[in-house]
Amino acid sequence: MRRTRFLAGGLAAGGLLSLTGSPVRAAGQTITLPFANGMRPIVAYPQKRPLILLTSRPPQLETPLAVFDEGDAFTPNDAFFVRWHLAGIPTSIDGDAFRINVHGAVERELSLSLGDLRRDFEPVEIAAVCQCSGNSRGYFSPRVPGGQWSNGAMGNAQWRGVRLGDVLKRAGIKAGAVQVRFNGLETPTLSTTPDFLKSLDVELAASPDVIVAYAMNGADLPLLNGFPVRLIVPGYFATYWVKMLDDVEVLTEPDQNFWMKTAYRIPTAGNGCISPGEKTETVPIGRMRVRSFITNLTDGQHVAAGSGQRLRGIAFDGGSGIERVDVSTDGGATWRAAKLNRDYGKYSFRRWETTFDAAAGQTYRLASRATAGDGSVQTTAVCWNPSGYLRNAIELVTVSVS
Amino acid sequence: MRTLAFALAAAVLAAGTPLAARTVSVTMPPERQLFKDAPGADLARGKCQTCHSSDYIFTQPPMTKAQWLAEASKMKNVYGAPLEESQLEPIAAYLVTQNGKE
Repeated sequence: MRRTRFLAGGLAAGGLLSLTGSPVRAAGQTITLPFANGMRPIVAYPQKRPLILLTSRPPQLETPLAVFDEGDAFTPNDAFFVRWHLAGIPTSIDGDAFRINVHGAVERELSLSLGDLRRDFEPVEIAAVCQCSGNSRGYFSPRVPGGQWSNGAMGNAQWRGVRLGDVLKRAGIKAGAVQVRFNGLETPTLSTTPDFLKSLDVELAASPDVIVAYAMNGADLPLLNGFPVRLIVPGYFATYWVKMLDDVEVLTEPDQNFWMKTAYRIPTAGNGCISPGEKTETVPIGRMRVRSFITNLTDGQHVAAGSGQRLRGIAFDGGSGIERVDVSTDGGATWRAAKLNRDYGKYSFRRWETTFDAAAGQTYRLASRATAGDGSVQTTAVCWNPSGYLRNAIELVTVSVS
Repeated sequence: MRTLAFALAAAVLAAGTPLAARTVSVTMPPERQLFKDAPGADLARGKCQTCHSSDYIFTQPPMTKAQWLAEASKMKNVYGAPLEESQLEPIAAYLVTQNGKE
């Protein structure tokens, strides 16, 4: 099958492969994700190439899987997924007037401009995957309410900014602090809707990898990804990566706000994975689980016969790094190791590649299985919980050889 | 102010990262209007679309009236939607005509 590649930054259609393998997709077209009510328009939002539109207000945009096959391990800013919770998103931001206020249980309250951030703190860079807690929710069975994503509510970027810990050090955390709470410019339409606030334990907030990022892949963040600054919590689900971060509050009691106490929680039982109807205690969602995807072939695709068919993809986990990726061409009956490409650090996508022999008339059930540095490994067990979080099962891609 | 901006630009260039734009403004595309005419459409358009676009309903898996009632109740009780108790049933009855199952 002849394929063209979607050029980074380009708006021309024609190169993108849909999940079902058909070429496409310009603004105005649609894509049908493989679950009920999976039809989505392809729409170009500001500073974005045409992406899969999940919802328009607040905007939620999904990255087509073929984007992850582009270039190196990083997801282009104009293709990076978008997810907001509340409709009150500023559409104009004055970078000069923007301030981050640091307050609460601190010795000195701070009001930091973007210039202060760049001038007064050591810049740091980190490659890290940002993945929505509900990525892949559309594949839950039985289905659960929530944003019905395929696998494209994730992306990997090189983030540049300052350590949150350095900011907190300048403010001086008082004894008795337990959590740090983050707020951004996103606001609810109604005062009766809980504002979107997220908190981290103070030890995590002050750890060196948590940063306040003012650049993404060497450029300003797109507004829809949180311009001018966004919290980066490597290894953790994106719910904590507060966009347009303008408020940091040090708390002396655990945060009781809705988005910590009620929403974004996973079952304590079954390592977060339970049976429908099962009742258990819950805890706030935290680190991501190990995952991998085949990015150059899609389910249902026809490939040409021949040895040396390329098979490649990405893998990542919650911050221990990718140790190995195995591939199968027989639905998981047998496995062999793929070659791991360049290592951009333990929080990054890790590209992997290998080849397989495609015999005419055959069907291959392709799969990848990642093993993380902490020993965790993908399995065929499919996680279920009522919020649609944590999916990380081995994914199957069936291709036939013409 | 001009001097400060210049100093900031210089510091940023020295750090090897792009200068943040002074002001970034965007215009969002028009939202989709997917609610079809049926009894209860005005209620759904008036209430649901206060806080979110109608595609939030149509991208959900098809749900029963009981499930839509639970969603409407959640919108009222958890997210503070301005719904009267008496409006929950009519909204659910409408939503099941839009994206429903038995």
